[in-house]
Formats: sequence, structure tokens, C-alpha cells
Amino acid sequence: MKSFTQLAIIVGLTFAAAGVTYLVKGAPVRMVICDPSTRKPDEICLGEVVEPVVWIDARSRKAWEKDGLEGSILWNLDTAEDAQELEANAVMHIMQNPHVVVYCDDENCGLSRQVAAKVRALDLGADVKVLRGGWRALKEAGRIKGSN
Amino acid sequence: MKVVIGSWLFLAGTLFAGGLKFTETSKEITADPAARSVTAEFDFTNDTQHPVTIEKTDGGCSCVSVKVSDGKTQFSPGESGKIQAVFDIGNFSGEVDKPVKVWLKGEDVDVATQTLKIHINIPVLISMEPKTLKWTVGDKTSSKTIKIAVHDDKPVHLDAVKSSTNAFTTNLKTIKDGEEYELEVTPVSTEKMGTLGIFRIETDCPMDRYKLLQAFAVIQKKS
Repeated sequence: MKSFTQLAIIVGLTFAAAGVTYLVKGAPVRMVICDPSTRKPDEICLGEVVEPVVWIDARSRKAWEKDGLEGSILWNLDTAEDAQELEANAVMHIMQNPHVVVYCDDENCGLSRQVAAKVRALDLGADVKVLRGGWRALKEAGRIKGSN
Repeated sequence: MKVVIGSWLFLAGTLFAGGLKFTETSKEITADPAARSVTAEFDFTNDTQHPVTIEKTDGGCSCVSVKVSDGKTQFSPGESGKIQAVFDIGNFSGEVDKPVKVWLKGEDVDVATQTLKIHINIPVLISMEPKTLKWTVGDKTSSKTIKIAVHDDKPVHLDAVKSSTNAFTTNLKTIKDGEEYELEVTPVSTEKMGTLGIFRIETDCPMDRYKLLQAFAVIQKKS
């Protein structure tokens, strides 16, 4: 019985500590965190982006039209899209400005990395980066219309 | 104290096993060059003592559709199921990583309970090297070449080149019919910076993504 009392005390203390932490520190922060010292070499934090750059939205056309970054161009890998047209449009923009940042939904989507590889394969000498945190990072920074 | 530690470990073990037990959590697939999609299946068993419900799955992009055991989402203790992820190859090529996330009912909604990984190798059927030909302002108007190679057992034939501009002339050469070609491009002038040529070549390849090839030529500023 003594053992179970000890167990109950440990469990109680654990929950009490968790509760106090929640009350003092608040709910867990789910914001995109980008540390320039730990990000991957092909990534860029939003705070590091020096405008003007060519923003490429790698999400679906529907998402881009709904809430894409103002001034961004679309280049995704959907079968429904005219791949040549998207590529040619990107080339025309990159010719004007060889600094490119690609974003997709968030840090997990991976599409931006695929599109970034396609931009590099164009061999236009562009500096191509993938935005860490993707569209979510832009939204949290208030860069998307309607976001704070 | 031993009883306390033992009970604690038992409790921790039960929590750890609170999800589904997958036989594999990552798969490597090499796509058939002609394939339009690839499918990865992940078998699992409910290894717990209580029913488990798969609340949500996410393939990370519109190119991945995820199905759970033909729509069944609740699994009794000991019951097995399957998560099927279908990747639409679309315009992807080369090495592709796709995470498939699974959330169980009652778990943290912000963090997936399980992330399954699919690594797909999509062979390049027709390569163009380089994709873009470059001249610098003031360069000689000499010809440069894009090498086009078919990496398939079946031959692919290239048709005439369509150019977006008359600032460049083109000449499509057959090196080995159905296998190797060269696109020779010559600028009419290299005086104007930013001149861009877009070249499109139709093929008889039955695969949509290789029916039309595209290459570029640019006149760049001096660095």
C-alpha cells in the first residue's frame, strides 16, 4: 500500500509541476522557429531575406490564388498545370532578378525543395533558397493578406 | 520502491505503446519510368489493449492521397490494417521524399502521432544538358549545343523546334535516331542584355510529361 501511495505522490507531483509550468509559461508555442545557425544550407529564414527576390509559391494554384504572397509567382508540380508555361514564366522573372525564394505550406511539405531543384537545374546562376517554415512563416509574420 | 519503479515503467510502457505498431515506417520505391503514380503501403497492428481510431492522415501535398484500410478508421486490440499512400508523379523527377502523417484520436492535434516516410526515385527518361545556353553581352555569336538523350529502351523521336523569338536560330540534329539529339542554338546578336529564347520540341513519347521538351537561351550581362 505504501508503494502505491508513493506512486500516487510521484504522479501527483508530476501533474502539479506540469500545471504550474502551463500557468506560468502558457500553452506550448507552435510558431515557426528559424535559427540561422541550425537551418539547412539550402534554407533561409524569413528574417534573412533581402528584398527584392523572386518569390515562388510551390503550393496548388487554388491556394496561391487564395492567399499567396503578393507579387509571388506560381510554380508547382501538379499534373493539371502546364509545366512548360510555369517554367518559362519563372525563367522570365529570374532573368530580371536572380535571387529566388521558394515556399510551400510549411516545413513539412517538401515541395519547395523540389521546385528549388528545378530552378537550379535551369542553370541560370540564380541564388535559390527554400523558405524555412514556408507559407506558415509568412502568415505568422503578417506578410499574407488578412493575417496580422 | 521497486514496486513504484516497476509500476512507473509499466505505465510508461503502456503510454509508449499507445499507438499503432507499424511493420515498416519508411519505404524506398523506384518508379517505373512510364508510371503515372506509385503506391506505398504500410501495414500496422493495434498493439494496445484498447480500440484505436485514426483521426486524420496527411500526405503533405495535393500529389499524395492517403487511404486507411478502405475507409475503416477504428481498430480493435490485435486488429491489423493498412495505410496506403498514392503519389501522383506529375512533373516530379529525380529523388523525392514524401512524409505521410498519421494522427490518432485523443493524441496531440499539433503533432502527428506517427510519421511514415516514402523515398521515391523517379528516373529521368529524357535529359537535356544544359537546360539553358548562355552568352554574355558582346560575346561572339557562336553556336552552342544542348545535348538531348533518351534513357529508355523504347526510342523517342523529336520533332521540329518552335522558338519564342527570332533573336536565336536553331538547328536540331539527330545523332542517333530515337536516342540522341543535339539542339544547336546561335544568337543573331549578343548586344542586347536580357534577350531570352524559349525553345519547345515536340516528341512522340507517350508520357505526358515528356511530350514537350523545353530549353532556354539567354544573353546575360557581363559579371
